[in-house]
Amino acid sequence: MRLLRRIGSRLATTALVLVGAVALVFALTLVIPGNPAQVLLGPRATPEAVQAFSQAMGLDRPVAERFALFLWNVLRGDLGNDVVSGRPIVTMVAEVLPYTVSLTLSAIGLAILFGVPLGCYAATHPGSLIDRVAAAVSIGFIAIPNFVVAILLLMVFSVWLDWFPVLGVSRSGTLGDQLARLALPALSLALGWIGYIARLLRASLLDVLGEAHIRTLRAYGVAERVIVYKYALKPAAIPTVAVLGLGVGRLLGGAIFAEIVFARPGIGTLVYDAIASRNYPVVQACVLVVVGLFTLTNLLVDLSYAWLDPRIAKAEDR
Amino acid sequence: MRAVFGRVWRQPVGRFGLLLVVAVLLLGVIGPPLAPYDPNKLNILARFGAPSAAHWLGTDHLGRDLFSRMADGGRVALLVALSTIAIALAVGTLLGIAAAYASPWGERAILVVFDIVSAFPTLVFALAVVALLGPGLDKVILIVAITLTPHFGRVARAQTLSLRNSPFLEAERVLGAQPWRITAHHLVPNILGPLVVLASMDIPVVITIEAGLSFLGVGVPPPRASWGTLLHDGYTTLSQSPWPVIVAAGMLTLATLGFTLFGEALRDAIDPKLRVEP
Amino acid sequence: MTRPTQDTDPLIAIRDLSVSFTTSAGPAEVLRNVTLDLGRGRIVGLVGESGSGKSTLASAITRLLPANLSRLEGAVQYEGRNLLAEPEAAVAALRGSRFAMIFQDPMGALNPVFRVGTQLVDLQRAKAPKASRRDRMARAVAMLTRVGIPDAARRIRDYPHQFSGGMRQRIMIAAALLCEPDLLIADEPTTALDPTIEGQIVALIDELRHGFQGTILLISHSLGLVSHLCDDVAVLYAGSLVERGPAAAVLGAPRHPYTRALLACEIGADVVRRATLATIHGDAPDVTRLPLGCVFAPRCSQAVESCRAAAPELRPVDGDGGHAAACLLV
Repeated sequence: MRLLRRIGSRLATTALVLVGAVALVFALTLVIPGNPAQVLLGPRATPEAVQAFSQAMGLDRPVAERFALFLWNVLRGDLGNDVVSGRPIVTMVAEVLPYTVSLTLSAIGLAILFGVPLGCYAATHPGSLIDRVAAAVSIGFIAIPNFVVAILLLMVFSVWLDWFPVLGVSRSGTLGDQLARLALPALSLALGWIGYIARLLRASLLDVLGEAHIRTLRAYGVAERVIVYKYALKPAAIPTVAVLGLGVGRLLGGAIFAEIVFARPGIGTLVYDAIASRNYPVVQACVLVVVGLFTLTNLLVDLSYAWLDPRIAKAEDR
Repeated sequence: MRAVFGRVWRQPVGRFGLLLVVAVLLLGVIGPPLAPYDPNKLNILARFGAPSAAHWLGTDHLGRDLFSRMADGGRVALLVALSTIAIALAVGTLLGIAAAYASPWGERAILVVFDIVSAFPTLVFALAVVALLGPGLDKVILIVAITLTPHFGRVARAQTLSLRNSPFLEAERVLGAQPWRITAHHLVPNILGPLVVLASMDIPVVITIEAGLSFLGVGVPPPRASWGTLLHDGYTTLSQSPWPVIVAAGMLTLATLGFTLFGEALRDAIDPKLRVEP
Repeated sequence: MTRPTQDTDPLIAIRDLSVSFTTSAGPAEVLRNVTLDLGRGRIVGLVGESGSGKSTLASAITRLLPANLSRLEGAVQYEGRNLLAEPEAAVAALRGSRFAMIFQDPMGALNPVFRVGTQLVDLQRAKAPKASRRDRMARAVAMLTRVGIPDAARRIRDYPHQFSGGMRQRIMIAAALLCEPDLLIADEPTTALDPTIEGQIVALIDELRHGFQGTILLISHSLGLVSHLCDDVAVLYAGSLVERGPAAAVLGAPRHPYTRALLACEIGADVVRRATLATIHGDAPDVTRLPLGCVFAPRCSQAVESCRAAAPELRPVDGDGGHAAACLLV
């Protein structure tokens, strides 16, 4: 019961934040100098189009009413129509979103695949050569901007060594080709995170391994592997997930860069091109989608604590 | 203060970071006046030059001297970093303290505002603003300062909350000191520790953001040099010369690495309990 | 209530056990030449102040010593083998199948993010590796009922934080008994509990001992607890064993000045209100700088010159009844 109430309040806060974000995006359009319709439609718009747009947008109506209209449209999924092609922007976004999502998920997958074992090894062999090298290297990849890493990877592996196809997405559609093209972009995103996860996990694991319940397990002869990978890993994952959740925003931002550097379709390329062509409605739509995704991911991460740590779910029971 | 720097110096990692930081600072401050060329001076005949006696780091696609541009870019990076962090620190701390002392509704309002601002990844927010209002150095500073403010605000609030009921603050109040005076003279110095650490760890973050925005063309507008712009120009002409990319990537790597290592060493020197922060 | 006397060979024979750790202040001699027998089926109490080395002794038997161990000498004989000389794998195999432990703090002893049932099942793996999960779960439920956890079949699916401190200690006792160990080490099992709960746990231990065939090593700083439950008692001071023997003898007629002083410090139910409480003059010694002679000499009211010269050996006090004290004045 309490858990439901907690989820409910969390959902309410999230909804409030989302509405606030939409309001902020809307507010941006209010500070445009000059004729808003002109700016929003871009330099290519004809005077008639500007006129029609002004009326459709209700630019002469009071602010509150315009905001309500805006919010209503967003909730309905109507993000406007593209000035250039006339297609609904939602469709444009929906077409490229899978690429961004697959890139981000691959990066997360790679990061977990390499980061978790590395962190576990470092925690169980502290001070070893691998531990120290990993610590040094991981700071490097966390600190250095991911687009710098992306370009360096591009330079070394695609241009000089020619191991990977250079740019774009697969045209032939074979899985092998698709994966090959996904490899470098996902890797450029993942490298920083591998180090990050490894460091966080190492610290948390070392903390957990010093706790009393681990001593109990050892006193009963439970195998060290079971102790580390079952009984220590789960409690250690909690603070790791907490900090990771905070970094999701960075991951999304990084995905945008990776798409641009490697010329992959996705939200990043969409928004980049839109800015270049002063196509603000598309930019606005992309911003809303990204903010929505980001907020939802945070919510999911928050709710996952309840699954990972039963004390949180039942905190008020006793 | 001296003790803290002493501790940073003693760690090899901290020492390395500090050296890099000093190098970058020198570059940004005295680099541009000492640079041999005007960073924006075109010289098409000398384009795509490799490092030579005339051009220490080579030239870019328009023949501009890379060393001079790199120094100028360093200045921009430092300028943006220091001003945004200063603004965010000041505003964030004020809001954080206000939130800690405010009524429950006031606090909630401030926190919701923080949440809303945090819901925008900085890059996305910058893209939206620039698309509307056009690029510019001042806009970059403003945008980044806004997105960084909740960062400082939350930490300031947490610190204030934990110190609010401290005996020494109570003692001041009992002695009749004005609330403003209590805040300025007693509260702030004591919450400053984690905030300073956060600020130093945010420097590489801001450098990265500025470079990223410039890379995408929505940061520092050309022809002003920025490491991000250098990187982008080099990236588009990668097939003709690797030097712009090498210079820009190299500088960004050294600067971010240096400030990060220094920041971590500083954190360990001031308060090792602050670990676990990203 | 009669228990076998000491004429059968002991389960564990500890001989000249010495343990030192490296600390920032230098090597700390935590245990020095401890010689002690743990008789089969007996309940042996190990008493001493904090820092006397009681827990280290338990850790030495199970070879779960910390990493800053600098010296481990002597012998711990079990089934004809010296556990200190055996390879780690051999000793590890004994944990959870022949040796079981109960620790002081029940709040931290169980992993908070796993159900109690899961943990009880895994803790039995050393004892019954071939048994199915279902069998082990059933045994766990039965044992939980036995130690007084109501509605065990349902509660075994709960998490540790849903149990009170006393209940958690019962769970730990159940875990220990599920191993059917030859030796059960209880390290300050009631110290962290409220007095009322302590009484319940003591009553539980009292009740369970009848069905339990193995030896119990009960570590405590509470003389009252030890005198209530134990057959034999060993007194530890600053890493040295100063007195040992049957509980009635050691606690009823103590021969070592330290034991006597300890007993005098206990506030019994029949004590008359006095102006001052009895204390032992002085401080516990620094184990990085131990005196040459008897460990207790600096604080002993009966010390003579020869006490400070060399550490006295354990001398029998009553012929071969098992009571011995390490004092020159015996």
